Amino acid sequence: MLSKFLKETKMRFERKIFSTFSDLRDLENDFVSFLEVNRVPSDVIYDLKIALHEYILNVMEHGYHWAPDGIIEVAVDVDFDRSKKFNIEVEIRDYAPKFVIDKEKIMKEVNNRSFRGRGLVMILTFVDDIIYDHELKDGNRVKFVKSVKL
Amino acid sequence: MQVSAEVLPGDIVKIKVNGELSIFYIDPFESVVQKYIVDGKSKFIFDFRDVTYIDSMGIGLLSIAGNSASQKGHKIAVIVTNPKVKYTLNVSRLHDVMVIVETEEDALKVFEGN
Repeated sequence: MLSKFLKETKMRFERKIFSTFSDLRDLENDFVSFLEVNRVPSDVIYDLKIALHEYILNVMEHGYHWAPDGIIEVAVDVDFDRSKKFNIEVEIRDYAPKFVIDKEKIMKEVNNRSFRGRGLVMILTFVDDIIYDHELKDGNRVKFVKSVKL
Repeated sequence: MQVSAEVLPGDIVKIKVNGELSIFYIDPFESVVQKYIVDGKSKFIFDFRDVTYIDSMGIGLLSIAGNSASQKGHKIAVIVTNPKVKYTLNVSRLHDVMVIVETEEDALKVFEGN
C-alpha cells in the first residue's frame, strides 16, 4: 500500500562529525529521522543504523584510537525508483590510516569466543554490499549499499 | 536504558533490560553482568523482551557471560521477541553458549536438570 503513495525521489543527507560518542549519537538520530521522513521501511532503517553504528565505532577505535578530533563524513543517498524500489547508499569517509575490510577473514575468525570483531560481521550481514575505495590517497572511504522492493 | 536483576530459585540470575542496549548506554548492564560473574553465578537468563536495539558491545557482554557460564557446563538463556533483535542475536555466532527463547518458561527449561 505504501508504494502507491510514494513518488520517484532522490534525496541526500550529509553530515560531518568528530569521533565522539555524542556526535555519533546525534548523527544516528538525524540519520534515522532522514530515512523515516523518506518512508524507508523501519526494518531497513534498523539494518542501516546498525551498519553505520558499527562501522563508525570501528573507525573511532581502530582508526582514530578514540581521539576525539578525528573527522568522519557521512553522505546518504536514497533513491526511490519507478520500479518501487528503494536504493540506499551510505558513504563514510575518514582520514585515519588505511585499512581494508577482509570479508572472508572476518567471517571465518569471529566465533563465540570472540569479544571483538563481531561488529564487522554485523555490517556484512545487514547490508547488501560494501564497496571500499581503493583509489583514495589518504584515509578511507566505504559505501554500504542496500536495496529493498516494496 | 534500564536494567534490573533478581536471583530466582535454583540460583538462576535473571537480568531484565529495557530500551536500547548499545555502547552509549552499556555501563549499567556491564556492571550488573560483571557483578554476578564475580560472585560466581553461572546460570543467567537475559530478559530482552523490551530491548529495541542491540549492538556489538551488548553482544560482546553476552559472550562474556556465555563463556563464563560454559566453564561450569551451562548456557545462557536470552528471552527475545523483537524480530530484529532476535535476528541480530542469531547472526552473532554465540550459539555454542546461548539459547534464544521467547518466554520465561522456556528460559527456565534451559536449566532443568542442572
